[in-house]
Amino acid sequence: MSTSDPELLARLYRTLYGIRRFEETCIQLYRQGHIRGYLHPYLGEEAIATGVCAALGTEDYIVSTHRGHGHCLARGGRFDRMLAEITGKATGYCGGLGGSMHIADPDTGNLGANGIVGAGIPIGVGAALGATIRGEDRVCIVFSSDGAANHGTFGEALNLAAIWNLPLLLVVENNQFAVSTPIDKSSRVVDLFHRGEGYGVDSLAVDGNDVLAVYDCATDARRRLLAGEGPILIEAKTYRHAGHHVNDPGTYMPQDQVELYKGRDPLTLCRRHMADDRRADLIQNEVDADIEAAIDFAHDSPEPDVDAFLQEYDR
Amino acid sequence: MIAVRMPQVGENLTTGILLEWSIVEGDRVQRGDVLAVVESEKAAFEVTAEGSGVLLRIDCPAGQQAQVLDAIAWIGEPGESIAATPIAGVEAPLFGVDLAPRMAPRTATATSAGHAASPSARRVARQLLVDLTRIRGTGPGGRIIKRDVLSAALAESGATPVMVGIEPVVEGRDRVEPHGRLRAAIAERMSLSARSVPHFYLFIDVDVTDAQQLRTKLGADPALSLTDLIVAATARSLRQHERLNAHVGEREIVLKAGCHIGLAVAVDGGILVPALADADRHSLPELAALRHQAIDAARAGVVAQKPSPTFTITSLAGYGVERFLPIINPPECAILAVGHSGERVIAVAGAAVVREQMTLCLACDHRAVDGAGAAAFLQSLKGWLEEPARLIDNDGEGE
Amino acid sequence: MTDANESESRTLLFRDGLNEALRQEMARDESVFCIGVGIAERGGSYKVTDGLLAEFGPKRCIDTPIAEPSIVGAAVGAAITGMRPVVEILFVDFTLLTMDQIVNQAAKYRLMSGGARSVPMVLRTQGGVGDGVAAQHSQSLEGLFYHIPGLKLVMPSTPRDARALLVSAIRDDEPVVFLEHKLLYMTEGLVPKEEEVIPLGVADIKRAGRDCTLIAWSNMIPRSLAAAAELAATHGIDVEVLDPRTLVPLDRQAIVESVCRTEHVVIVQEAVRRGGVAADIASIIQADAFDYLDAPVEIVAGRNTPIPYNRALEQACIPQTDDIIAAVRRAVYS
Repeated sequence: MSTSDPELLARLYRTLYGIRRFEETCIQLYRQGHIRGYLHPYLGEEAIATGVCAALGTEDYIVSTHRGHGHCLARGGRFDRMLAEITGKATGYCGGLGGSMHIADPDTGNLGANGIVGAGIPIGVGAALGATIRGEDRVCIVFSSDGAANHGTFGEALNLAAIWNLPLLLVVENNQFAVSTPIDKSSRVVDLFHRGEGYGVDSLAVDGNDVLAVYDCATDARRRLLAGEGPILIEAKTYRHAGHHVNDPGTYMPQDQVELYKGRDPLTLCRRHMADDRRADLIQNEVDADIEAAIDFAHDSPEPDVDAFLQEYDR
Repeated sequence: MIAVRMPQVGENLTTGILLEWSIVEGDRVQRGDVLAVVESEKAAFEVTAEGSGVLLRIDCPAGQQAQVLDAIAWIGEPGESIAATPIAGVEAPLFGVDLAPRMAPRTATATSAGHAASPSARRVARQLLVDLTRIRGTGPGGRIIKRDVLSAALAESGATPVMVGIEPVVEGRDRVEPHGRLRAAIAERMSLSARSVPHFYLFIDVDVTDAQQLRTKLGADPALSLTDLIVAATARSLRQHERLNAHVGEREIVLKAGCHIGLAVAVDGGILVPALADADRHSLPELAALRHQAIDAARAGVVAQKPSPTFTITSLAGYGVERFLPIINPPECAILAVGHSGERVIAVAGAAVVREQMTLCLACDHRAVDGAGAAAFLQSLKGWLEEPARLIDNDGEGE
Repeated sequence: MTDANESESRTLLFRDGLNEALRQEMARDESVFCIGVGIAERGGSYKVTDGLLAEFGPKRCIDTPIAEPSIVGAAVGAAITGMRPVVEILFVDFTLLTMDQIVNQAAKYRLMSGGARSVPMVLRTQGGVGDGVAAQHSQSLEGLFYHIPGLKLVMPSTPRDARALLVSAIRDDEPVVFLEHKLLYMTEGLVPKEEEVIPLGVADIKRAGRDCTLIAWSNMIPRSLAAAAELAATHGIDVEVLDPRTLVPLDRQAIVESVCRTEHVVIVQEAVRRGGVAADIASIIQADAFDYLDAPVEIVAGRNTPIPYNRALEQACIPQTDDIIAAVRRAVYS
């Protein structure tokens, strides 16, 4: 059990805290008018991206969702290039062309966030398929949601992964709301891991707020995928700290549930595992400084060139 | 200077109310400090400082409403003046903009006889100088079509039109060639120049015997032409007589910092004048290379817009023309016409000798240049060309 | 385009030309693989992928259940991670189910990732009226793909073009929709023995002529050639038949050059008249060849209706040879 590994805990905490501060910063920048369009904060769900991505190898792929900042950061995304992308600057990961919902860094195995619910799942199947054809030792993690679980592509793609025995881990982040529709209104069966059973896929549930539990679960899943036992479905239960997107106050979320989950804040839970409180504070200070620098970087970065853009893409 | 703005609080919300300020004017703040609390329909939001500094001025007092993203306060250093800074990427709303229809309804295009003619028919009629109003159309509704025009041309001239490429030509008939873009531009500029520039002309004969010898002796690759020497000499003369390296305005002269010499190049359909940039800073071989590049580019139809020439040289030497009066290319203040160089019998110290000579003609804009100044320039130019070794001594400094 | 020399060519069926292209490219490049419903074991409903399973094995020739959105999505995922999938969707009518993956994913990934990755996939499908398969299996939907930036669109009309263009499509780094016609699979034509590549975006003059340009693609090419023959023999009208072959990118230059020469143009498309590719080509001609039009641009196109089952009614809905002949005669005032 990984509770006793201080280095691992420090690493995990740094990522958790980084995602938390990053999302809070994005909300602030949005309010200040520096971010346009849609912003879907990952507040409250940080343990899932952190725990899963910490278990990955450098060759593995991830496919993300519309609520993708957490996945991108946990997979090694830099604060500065991500903020630059989200504020539409040329120095962003996608040159300012993708924005919050489409951030990708294929060179580090991040195939991208996606603005269409459920669309990433077949894409992840394709990446895993390609790896299998080439005979490579790598896995593909597809992050999806309770919202995607009722989408056509969920079942289709999971079935394809199953019949082809793909090294694919489907992580269903069940934050119990699809936009504003609660899970018990969208599905008779609220424990979504049961869906995998119908396709003959090994499926389990994990506490999505406990980063160590997620990490252990993901590490084991990866080992089994590389041993050819895939695909695997993990349902991680969690809760948003706020609404669906930055302008949604989430008034439909029952207060008592919000309080319950905030009482099980993933950052707090992780800190409890850490023996050295000062180390955690140090980490926080370092991350805060990095984010300040990233804000400056984004503000100082240039806009993309309009003529060059048209030249390249207006065909 | 940082503008503190009413925050973006929701998709369709355009205003917010400033509930209370947490600080006062004159307070020093750090990035991230809470400055105020605002309220929109659904909730209250904190306004935090985007950067550090002193709160110089509050524009939206507590209790007042403001538009989303409008400035409600200013942070800077004491003494700074407050100027409105626009937000990049925030579009002004288009509500209420009256987009009146831009197009008036078009009436059907018809000839003065009231019959429509196809675009092809019109084009061919223009080219063959056929009067459309005198043709009966055989197309639907009396439309005049191409063969009607060709028949009319045949009837008028007795010759059958033949296709040359995609255009019809009738033997024995005048043919119209509409101005291409280049021709039209030349026509306009030369007319303007002739109309509005008071030209005067100076001639001078230059002995180029030594220059030709030097040229052959240097034997560079690409080979130097007499033009390269003329360009080098002109550049140096312009540096000595800067009033000829100038552009002319309505009420002023602009003395140009750079010395960019344009060369008139004959191309398909007209003339182009590429510039040899910073001609005074290049060696003779470099000038030769630049000249080749410029001519090749011009013949390919490509002429860089910048830098524009400050002085132009035009030559008909290749055709044996001895001298000619050029037209200035506005807004330049002068132009040099180079004639053919050849052996002439001249008198030197009372004896007849044979020297290679050419005639230069300098045309000047009398609004900016006077005779003496022009003459002095020509004299210097002649001096450089007749002692060409000096062109090498002063070769390409400053590169 | 040079004619295929008799001694160095052989007659091939359209579907076999496609088969050859796939075989050649799969042998040449390990990252090329085929995927689709029934394409492996059965060799495809139209036998285009016949024999590929035996030659390249089940990892390169993959059968799938009926799950079109996910099959195309899987192709996207494979394409952005180093493969060159050729995904087959049996009927173009079914591509409507996959529109999110084609339009929102494949066509946009390169831009959204800021150019980090392109999507080198080919989506092979077929459409068109034939054999009475009725409304949901007879559509010509190229107009939809034409309108989506980020996609290329190819519609070959001959075995030779099909083979060489499929090779180019596979080698292209951008997503290509390769739209075949169900009635062309069993047509024959001369195909050179040696390998051939026809670049995307280059039109072909199938028949040179002086009096009128006839622009057509896919199954309207054989019909246009038949009309041209009849017009020459019976009406003394010399028609130039121009096959764009690639609709995106379109060979505007070839089209404008031809129209400027002949000064009369008819565009034929099997697809429905409203909002189709012909209308866009007409606007290009109007803009770039305005002074060389002796008559309005004629468009002969499918009727604005779904395709009915009854044979006579079905045929009344799409351009026939006589319709093309009448349009040409109108254009040249004959």
